[in-house]
Amino acid sequence: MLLSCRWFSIEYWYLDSNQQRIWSFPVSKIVAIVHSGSTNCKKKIHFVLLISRQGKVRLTKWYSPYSQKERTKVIRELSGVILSRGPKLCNFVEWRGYKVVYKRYASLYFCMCIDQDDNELEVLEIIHHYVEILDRYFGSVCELDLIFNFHKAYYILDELLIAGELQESSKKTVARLIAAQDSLVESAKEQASSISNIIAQATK
Amino acid sequence: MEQLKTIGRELAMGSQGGFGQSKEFLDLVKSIGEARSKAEEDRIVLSEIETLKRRIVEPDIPRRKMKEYIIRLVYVEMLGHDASFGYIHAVKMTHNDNLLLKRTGYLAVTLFLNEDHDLIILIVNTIQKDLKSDNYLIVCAALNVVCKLINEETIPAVLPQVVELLGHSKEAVRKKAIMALHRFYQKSPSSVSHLVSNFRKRLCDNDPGVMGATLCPLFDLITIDVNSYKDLVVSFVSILKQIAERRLPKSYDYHQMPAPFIQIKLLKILALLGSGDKQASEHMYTVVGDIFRKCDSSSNIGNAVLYECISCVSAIYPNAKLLEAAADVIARFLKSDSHNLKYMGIDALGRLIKLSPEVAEQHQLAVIDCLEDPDDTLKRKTFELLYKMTKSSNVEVIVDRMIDYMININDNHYKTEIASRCVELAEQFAPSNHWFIQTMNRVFEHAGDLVKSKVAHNLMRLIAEGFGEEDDTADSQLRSSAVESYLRIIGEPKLPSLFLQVICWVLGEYGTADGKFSASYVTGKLCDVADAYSNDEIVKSYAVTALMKLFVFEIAAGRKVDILPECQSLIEELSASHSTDLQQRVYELQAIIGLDAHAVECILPSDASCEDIEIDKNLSFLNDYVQQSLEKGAQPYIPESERSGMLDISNFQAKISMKLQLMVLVPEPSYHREVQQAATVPSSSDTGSSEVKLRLDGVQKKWGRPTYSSSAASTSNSSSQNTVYEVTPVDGSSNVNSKAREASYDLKKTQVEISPEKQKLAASLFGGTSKSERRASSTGHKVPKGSSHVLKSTAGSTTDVLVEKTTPVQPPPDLLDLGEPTIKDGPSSVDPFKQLEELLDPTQLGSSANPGIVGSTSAPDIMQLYSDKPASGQSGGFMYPSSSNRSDDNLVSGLANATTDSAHNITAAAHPSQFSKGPNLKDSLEKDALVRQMGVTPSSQNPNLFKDLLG
Repeated sequence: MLLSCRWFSIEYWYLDSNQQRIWSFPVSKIVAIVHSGSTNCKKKIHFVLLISRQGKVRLTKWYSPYSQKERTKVIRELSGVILSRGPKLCNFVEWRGYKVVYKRYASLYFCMCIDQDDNELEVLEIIHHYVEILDRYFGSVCELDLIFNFHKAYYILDELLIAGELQESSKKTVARLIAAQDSLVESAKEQASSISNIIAQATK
Repeated sequence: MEQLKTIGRELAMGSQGGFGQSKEFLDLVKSIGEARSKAEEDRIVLSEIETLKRRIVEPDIPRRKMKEYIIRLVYVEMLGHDASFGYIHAVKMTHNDNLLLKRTGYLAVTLFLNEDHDLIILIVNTIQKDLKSDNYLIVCAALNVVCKLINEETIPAVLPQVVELLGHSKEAVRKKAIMALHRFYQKSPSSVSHLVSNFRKRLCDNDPGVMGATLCPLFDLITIDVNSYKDLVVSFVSILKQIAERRLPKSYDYHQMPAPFIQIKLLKILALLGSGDKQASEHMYTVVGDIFRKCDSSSNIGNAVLYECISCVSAIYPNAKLLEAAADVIARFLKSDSHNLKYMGIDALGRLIKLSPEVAEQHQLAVIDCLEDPDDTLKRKTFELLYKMTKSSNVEVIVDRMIDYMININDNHYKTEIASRCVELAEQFAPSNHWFIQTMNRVFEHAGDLVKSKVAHNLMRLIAEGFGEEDDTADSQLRSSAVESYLRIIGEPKLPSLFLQVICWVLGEYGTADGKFSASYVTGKLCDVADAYSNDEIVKSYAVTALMKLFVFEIAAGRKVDILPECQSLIEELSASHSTDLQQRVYELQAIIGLDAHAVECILPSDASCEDIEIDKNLSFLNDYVQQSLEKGAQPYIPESERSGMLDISNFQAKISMKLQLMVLVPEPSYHREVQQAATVPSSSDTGSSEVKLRLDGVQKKWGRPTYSSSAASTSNSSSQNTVYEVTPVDGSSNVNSKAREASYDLKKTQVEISPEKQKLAASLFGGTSKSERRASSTGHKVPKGSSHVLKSTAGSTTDVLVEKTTPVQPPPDLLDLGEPTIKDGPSSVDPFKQLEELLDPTQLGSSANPGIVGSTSAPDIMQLYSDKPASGQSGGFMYPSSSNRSDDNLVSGLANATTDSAHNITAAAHPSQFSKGPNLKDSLEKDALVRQMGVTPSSQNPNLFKDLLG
């Protein structure tokens, strides 16, 4: 394709204030390009680990295939490396040709494994982004929240990352989706809660 | 009454109490939390597995209970145990119509199954149905599963629906559909190749989230085929510009940066598109320059974007102005106190160094600091940088450092890598034979078992071939220095096998070549090796072959062979070896020793390992023999292709006899040459094969540039190697070095705090351009600024801003400071979280009966206890043990606040910002009380359980 095909420009695609689109470029003109051949697509994030300072696993999410045995080994190896690192050192560790970016929050270590040539600072911020969303959701989140509500932490992670890629970078959007899901759950629970409340009242 | 109370509490907890799980599960989590050892934890989990196995098959389990079982399975699996017995139940749960259960089921299957699990086939149907659901949340849940579990075979089953969902009205669905399509593309590009245009369409979706997600597949597509996407350069640039100008909705801001994650993705794409393409790159210069200027270098995310800018600038067609800006940022990174930034600075330097090598010289001291840093990660990164900037003038220092480091690490993966790097550098830049041999010895000695055997073969070939036929003296010098050092090393205990192979081969080939050492001395050493490593057959084979060669050379030279007694016993011992290969070698050795000088010279000519052996593939030397046999009535040989399908016995026999004859009548010389190699390729004793020489095709040529040599080009190669080698000494590394050293001593006078050793190191690493180096380091920080002033005069006001913006040093980024951003979006947002928080507002605390409050039926009670002192008698079973040793600051301050109830309310109302940070005090109080009520206490093992992650 010629480089001179500059008929599409998507200038002014968002307006500042009311987020309305003035126009987008003509979709019909876009030329479809058929692709063939194998891919060597790299995954961005291979796995996410949450480990406590005592080396206890709080959450694991594997985006690349690892057998249960390998998983145990990975966790053991990494917690050995990461937990022993001093506070002033880099938040990155080279490991088996990959890089593990980790960050400590209170007594919890959030770790993400990425490829050698990825942007470590960005991943560090993805971790922070996740923690901020958790914080909003649980209201000053602490390790205990994640211990007892690890499934909720999974749901939130699923809204943030898909197949090892960052799918949503807006906190608000993630929060909105999770809340929508929860509200459905809540309506299902309402009945049960009202019964328990009655009993609670009666026993006072 | 008491009983009713308990039931009430149980119910409350079971259904929606604080954490939404039953007492049983909470107990499990609690006991695991308190487990003191891994063994204890395993015991608890195993008994839990037993319980679940029993319970999960019970008939008529209530749905809520089932959901909890599934979550417990997830927990068990998360702790590293096998929960496969419950997978089918998770699959069943996905079939449920209730979204709550379905979601749990989906979560469990994504965590349990991988994409080739047999059970997936049972989910596909449900997924198909759910993708058509009119509830977008169900569609989202199904798409999440699609991304994780759909494999190549099942793609066609869901593909039509996923494509349809690209046009869904909810942006969340469109986004996930894009990601799903991306996954399909990764798994099987051919299945979705006709749909690739959809990614282009979605790039102009009016939701920024969808657009951001579309960048992921586009990045992959562009990585594979840059040219088809050159037309999108303008679009990407314009998107990036709009983002940089903050045209995106505020909700995409992150720590005051406009959509940084999307910016980074775009910069990555631009780097691919602009690589080596001047025209495309020219479109990008302005916007990348803008981002350099606008980026807030005080926050971590700002630095992440800056780093990506540098990566982009170093990938696209170079632009002086941008390179200048990149160098400025690198300077800032390297001068920072943060290890992370130093690390990124070193990495960025490695990227930029190809384009402007002089940047490294400006930062030599910073680089050396990083090299000596106690942080291993930083050190390794610095070695990577050094590897990239190695020249013939600094190779000695760099490789020495690398080997020193290599010796001290335990990480085999990295050891292998650094060893092969050392070898590569030594081969490319070695200043002298002696140094090269010494270096290789050190590498082999310390990482011999980790380096690839190719490296060893390469070394052998190098010693054999030398630098070409014209310079025989240099070759023999190389060999004798190798032999000398090997004879010295050979006595050391526990040498790696690969290294011993090299040693044996070299000693066999050249041990007596220069006449310095007697044959009996060398053979004695070889026998020692064979004895000491008696369970390594490959080494023994090498040793025997080496012995054979030494004896043969002696015979050929007309000297009498005196076989040492230990050698004799070794031969006898090995002739009864279990290894047929060893036996064969020993018998051959014995046979050859008996031959006369002429025959022996034909079999094993001296120093001919590099000569090509011609292989007579047609076996023409057998013609006479075959003719004779035919005359005697033997069946002629029929090639396999011409044979009929039927098994002709006589034919078969003839074939066998032919084969046997071939095996017996192997031409002696070529066969023995082969034996030398047989140890490396033990199975290659078939004479018909052409791999008589060491297979070194494709191995990097040493001494020369890292090109791939074809096996045929060996002569032309050797001459080119030679020229390269001769250039190296002319380079005058010592000369330049000394000059650089002088320069660094001058420097010392101006900057006293820098130690002379460091200076020396710097000079030897960065030497070669000593002049610019002196200027750069003596003026220190001023240089980058000075150069940007020069730039200013040419570029006008734009760079002026750059200089101004970069000079004031802002306080280091505080990652934990959540306050500002949340305050910022707080008031304007219509945030569900916010609403939740409002529900929990202190003013409503009194109305504990409000059923709408999430998870607060029991919690507010406790709040009341604290705010209302006289009522504390009612606290009953779960009263707070106020005298216990509480480490939680929040709680203490919370109590203090709560006693002055009204004051607390007022302050809370007066500082809404405090609340937007999360209702800290109240929340932790509630949480704490709840978990204590459930019996979880922060023990000495986990004192921080209550600590806010962000607090």
